[in-house]
Amino acid sequence: MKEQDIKVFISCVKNYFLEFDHSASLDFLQPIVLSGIGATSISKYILKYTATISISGAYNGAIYVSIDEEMLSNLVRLILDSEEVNREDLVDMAGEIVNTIAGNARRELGADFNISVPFVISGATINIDLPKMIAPIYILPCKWNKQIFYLFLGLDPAL
Amino acid sequence: MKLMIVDDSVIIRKAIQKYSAKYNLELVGLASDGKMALELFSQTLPDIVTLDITMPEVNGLVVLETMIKIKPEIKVIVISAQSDKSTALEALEKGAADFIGKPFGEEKLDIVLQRIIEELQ
Repeated sequence: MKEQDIKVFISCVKNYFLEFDHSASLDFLQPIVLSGIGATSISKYILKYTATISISGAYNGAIYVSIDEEMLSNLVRLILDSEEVNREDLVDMAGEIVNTIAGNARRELGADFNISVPFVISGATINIDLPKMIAPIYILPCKWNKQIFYLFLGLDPAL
Repeated sequence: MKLMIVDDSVIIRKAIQKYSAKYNLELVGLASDGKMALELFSQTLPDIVTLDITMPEVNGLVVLETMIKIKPEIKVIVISAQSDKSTALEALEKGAADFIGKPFGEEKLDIVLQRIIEELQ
């Protein structure tokens, strides 16, 4: 991936949070680059909910977003203006975030940047059934209102 | 006027339901995939549909074309995270009344819904 591609995703993350929280405090910390895809190296960045989406076409690989329950609950409350949040909402919210960020990236990366339906796991187990990221993996630590979450980009431009 | 909401995300379905409540539309269907959407559509024949593109079973753009064949005057608002120009144009060429890119808040939906409701009155 090129630096410009990573900037596209940072812009998509900003766009997402600013739509619902116009005064959002959004920070991006130093990206982490993993040259391999070993579960051990990834697991320390995996939070309560991890939403995944596989990418095909102009790029191959996958995008993950890993988020804690509290942050997802706060987002659901913000969007629905409701105090009632259930587990289905949290799982769905995680999937919707990765779906929107990946879908929005098509504006810059092209209509051949094909995305799948998102798949969400709960817990720290990264198993072999998840969409495969392609190394090197760029992990972008992001903070929304001081709550940290991670965006994983494991993409390779197709030849 | 009858409204149907089609999206595989429960949060999006709830958000559209909440944002559109002030228009007193009769909600005749909530569908989470394309197949369910077409079944409900044939049974209820709504006036306005909000429709996602990336869904299980049947893609939203195929659903759009089928709905227009069944009811040519249907107003379909396509709402998708795939908000690139070519996807929006494809939806409009296939007969969508409007296109909203995700993420969207109440204001974006209001602008489109108000216009469509006025057209139908």
